Amino acid sequence: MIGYARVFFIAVGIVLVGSDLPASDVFIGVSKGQFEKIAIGVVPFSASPNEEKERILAESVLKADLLRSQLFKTTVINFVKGNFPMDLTQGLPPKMTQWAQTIQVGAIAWAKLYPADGKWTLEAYGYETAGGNSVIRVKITGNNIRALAHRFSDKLVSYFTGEKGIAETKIAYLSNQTGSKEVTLMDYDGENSIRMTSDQSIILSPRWSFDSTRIGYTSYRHGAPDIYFLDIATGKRRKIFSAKGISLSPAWAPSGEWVAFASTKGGDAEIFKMRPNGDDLKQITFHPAADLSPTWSPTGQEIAFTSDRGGGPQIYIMDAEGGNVRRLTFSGEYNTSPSWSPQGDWVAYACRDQGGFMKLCANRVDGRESIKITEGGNWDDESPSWAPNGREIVFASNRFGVSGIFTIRPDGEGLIRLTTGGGTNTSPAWAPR
Amino acid sequence: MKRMLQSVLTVFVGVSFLLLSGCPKKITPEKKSSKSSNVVQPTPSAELPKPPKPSPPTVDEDSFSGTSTPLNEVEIPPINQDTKSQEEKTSELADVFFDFDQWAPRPIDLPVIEKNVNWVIAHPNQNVQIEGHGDSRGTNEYNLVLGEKRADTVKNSMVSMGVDPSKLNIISYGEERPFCEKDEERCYQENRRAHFRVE
Repeated sequence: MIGYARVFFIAVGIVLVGSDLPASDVFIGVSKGQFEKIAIGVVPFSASPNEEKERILAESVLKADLLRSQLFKTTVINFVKGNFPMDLTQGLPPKMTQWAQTIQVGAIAWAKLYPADGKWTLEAYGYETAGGNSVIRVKITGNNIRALAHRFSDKLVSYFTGEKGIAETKIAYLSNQTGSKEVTLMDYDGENSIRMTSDQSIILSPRWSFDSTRIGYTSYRHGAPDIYFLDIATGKRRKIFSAKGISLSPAWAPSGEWVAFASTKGGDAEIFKMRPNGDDLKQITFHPAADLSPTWSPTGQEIAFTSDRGGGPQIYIMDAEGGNVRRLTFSGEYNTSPSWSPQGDWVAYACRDQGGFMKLCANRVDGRESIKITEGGNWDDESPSWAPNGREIVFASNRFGVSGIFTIRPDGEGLIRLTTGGGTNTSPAWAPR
Repeated sequence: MKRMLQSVLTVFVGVSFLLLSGCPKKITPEKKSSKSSNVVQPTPSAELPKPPKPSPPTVDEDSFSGTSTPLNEVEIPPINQDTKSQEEKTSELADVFFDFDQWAPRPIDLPVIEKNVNWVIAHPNQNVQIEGHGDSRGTNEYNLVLGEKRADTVKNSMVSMGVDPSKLNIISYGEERPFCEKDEERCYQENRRAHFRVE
């Protein structure tokens, strides 16, 4: 890893953005082994002087995305004598290549932004400085400049790290801005929030479908808590499961073939599964205690869930058919809301601390390690849900007053506040792709 | 004359039918209300009430296929109607409270449950919904299930005291419909309750 003193010493023209701590050795939930962040230079984007505001927006969104990916050290290449706008459509100037290599900047990103047919086009270029090869050349067109920058970021992440980026992912949550909790969507950085329901009733536990096209949730819109599926593209909703008692927390199997959920139709809460159209109902837990909040392992072979069969609620794991039930959590009297990491090795959950406040914890699935992700403070952190890259967890917290949506890294660092104001925001769910 | 009688009978049948199933489309609302008041008199149902004066044939005879239509019986509500609103009745049923994380009612509340049992037994025509509620601590999903456990436990103890289980319905609102919104123990205790609503 490059020492920053050295970077500053050699490259007067390089400005580091963000406080870029060395990559942590602990990548909880990520199976990647040894890992070094790639230094990427973002050359100021090019746009006509009339579009300066938009240019800065696109550039700053890209830089924020790259930093947040935890895979890059972002730098701004900023020639002191500067001759902007630069044009890198034909490749890197040899001087820049040489210079970037000297300071070990492995990649260069640059784009030009211009309006076209009432939309915006981001012509995006990515270069490997070793050899100066262009590795990304793409015209991205759309209405929303932020979305264009997110796409560019995900392309850079994908090319340079082999990992799928999360900059284009969405987060669903419940906002009570209108007076009742409604399903709301936002970008992974908290922007572009849009309300998807107007049930004016009670809604609980939104969960994404395996392909991120639908959201399942529980609504009292017809009096009792039933399960509905909402199609994101059309806004159409369908009641999928309705029975006596509570129907709660539909969790799609990663293959999309099954939806696990909790129902009290037989008296106590049990976990069932059904086809996404509501057919083939099968009960998979059989215990007089409450079994609820299922979450699938990424292989679809196992399900973690909450059960109070031992007294207070704890996290258990079972085979997807209901066999081989084993307890995962043993510390604390109240552990709920499990979320299985996309890489499969951790289950995050809400854990009640000594002071009676909910915090975030995670256990290795093999039981060998248990960690506290958040600790201390007289507030509640609830409803953890993993980012699809396993590098962040979104959750609800009332640490700043009313409940808002935050993200944090599994090592407890990198807290980001996604919502400010707008009523209470709860029950976030990160789209799987 | 036969046709006249037929017409009168048909009107009566039509009006009775109206009480059972709502107003037939061809009767205007004004007529509905005037005729309803005629029929709702407390008259033994086995006897024909005094037929209303034949009015211009607003009822289409064909739609009732003449005299072969069997007579409908309409139950007449008792004179001493219970005039209390559902809200007033609901307020006669006292709430039952719970300790933190518990779904069995506090022993101190058993007399309350007993009182509610007596009320339900004394009102055989009333169904009661038991709502289970929780405080804001803990997670929404578990609290929803906890709320149902609370409502269910109260229902079971009322049934064990002699209430017909079909008179009691349960629903859980978990922590979603708090009675008190502050983050303090007094509020938490107030929210951990089974609330009774006359349906």
